[in-house]
Amino acid sequence: MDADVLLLILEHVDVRTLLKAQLTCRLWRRIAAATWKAHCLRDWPGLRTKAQINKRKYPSQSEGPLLDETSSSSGLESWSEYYRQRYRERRKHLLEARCSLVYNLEVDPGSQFQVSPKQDESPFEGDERWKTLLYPSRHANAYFCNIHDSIYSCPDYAEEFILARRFLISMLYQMRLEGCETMKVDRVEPTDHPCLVRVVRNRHPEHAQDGRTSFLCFVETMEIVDVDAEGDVKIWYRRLMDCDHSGKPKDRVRGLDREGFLERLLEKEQTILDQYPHGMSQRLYGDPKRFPLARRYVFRNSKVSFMQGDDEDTPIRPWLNPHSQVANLVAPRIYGSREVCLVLSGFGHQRVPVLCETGQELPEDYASPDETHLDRPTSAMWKVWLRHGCWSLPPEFES
Amino acid sequence: MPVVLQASDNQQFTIEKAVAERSMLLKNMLEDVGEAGEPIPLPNVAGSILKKVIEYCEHHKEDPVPSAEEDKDAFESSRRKADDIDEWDAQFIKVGNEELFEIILAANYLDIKPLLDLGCKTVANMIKGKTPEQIREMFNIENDFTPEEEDQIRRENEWAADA
Repeated sequence: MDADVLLLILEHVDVRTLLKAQLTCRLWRRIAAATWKAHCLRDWPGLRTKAQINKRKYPSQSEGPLLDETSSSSGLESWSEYYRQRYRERRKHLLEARCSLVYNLEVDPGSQFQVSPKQDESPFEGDERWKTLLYPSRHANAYFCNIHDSIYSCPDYAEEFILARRFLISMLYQMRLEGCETMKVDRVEPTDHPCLVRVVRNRHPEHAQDGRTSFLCFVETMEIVDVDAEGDVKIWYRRLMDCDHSGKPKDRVRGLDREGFLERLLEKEQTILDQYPHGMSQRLYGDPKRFPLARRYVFRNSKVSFMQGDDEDTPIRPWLNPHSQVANLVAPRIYGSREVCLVLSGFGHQRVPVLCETGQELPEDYASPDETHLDRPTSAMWKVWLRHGCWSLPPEFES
Repeated sequence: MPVVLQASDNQQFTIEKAVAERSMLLKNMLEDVGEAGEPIPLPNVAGSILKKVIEYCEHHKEDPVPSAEEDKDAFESSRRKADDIDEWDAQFIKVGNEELFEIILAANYLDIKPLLDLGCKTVANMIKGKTPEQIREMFNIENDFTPEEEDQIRRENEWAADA
């Protein structure tokens, strides 16, 4: 076989096979060594690898080393070293994310588990039960708690993991409210529930993908934006984007301009309410912890007052029930969980329990996270999904 | 104007220009020497293999060619994923090992990148999960490592023990 054809073949194998191929003979070992750059590009196609390539092309313009200082070699050898570093990094990150989830699910559902950055091995090392939970990696689809390994594994995409988790919480909670069967989290194989392969950041709105279906979502709430069969955002969202602050169309809808989508939408929502001009009490504005949460709640629960029969000149506006305007937010100690906050409304002194992570309102008959009666609507879900480092109010805000 | 190709065993094939231009080698030749109407000799490709290559090119003659402006690295990295083989391509490449390697060599010689990728992905999938001994057997390779060298390589590869 020609050496250049063998090189191409070895560029296409997975790394496990490549390492086996290195052991066949000296020629294959030499050729395998020349494929590491291709494997880096395939398995770590992010910005750091591109920067690494640029650093090699233009060494004088690069700022500081991208490889570990201990790596003294260059050329082909350093691409294999770069691959090794990224592999170790991925493994460590994956382990940390899984430890955190497993710890919260199985050991102490109320706590925030942290793995020390210096700790290379799992705190559960040697315990076969934990090993089974943490390394279900031999199964075919590489999902863990319905999120694909690729989302957990790379520190470059930490934000994608947060969005993936928020998306699942939002969707699963909605499904639960709509009367789907009690949710189960299968740690080995994906269930019938949505399994996220990846989350793609496309400015705004967010684009999440489950392998078969793509969703456009608002990043704050991961609420799914309606799109038509051609994938275009539905008319009322487009009209909302294209109207001025008072809801009057600036022009005919000409198409979707995604730049600054969420910001412009929120701006409109926050300017139509007279007594609480942004749907929130003024005192929340100086509060960096409460303000994002209050804004998320407003955003999630605003409705667009647009009728199907309206023509394009009819003003449209986002609308929040005046009784839902936010006077304050407190953590409800009585429910034993900081993943839920109580929204105190400006009128009528209502106290609405809300999921901090997504801004979703809880129904009146929901169960506390500590509730053990499984016939209550959300108990099982609390135990598996709502307790692994989601957005929450800090303890000092407890009422 | 049709293009005539002549294989190493003198078999001739008349094909459309668009089909011939899937091969970068033929495309450049046609641009350089023009369409003289003479058969183009391909001394490195047997008739049976050339027939197969033409079948592939005819099926893919409408496929877009990636532009030069596209991100080369992104394109290259996506090409190397061995598990994304099109259904028609998978059926097309279901051939014996000898024929498969002949197709790969022909694709390399004629510079037909997608066919070369298809062949390489297929071989990559064939050796996936195989032990070094099984790979040697498959490709009739003689092990020229000393036991010490083998031990050293295995030690070097320990970082990916759980890969």
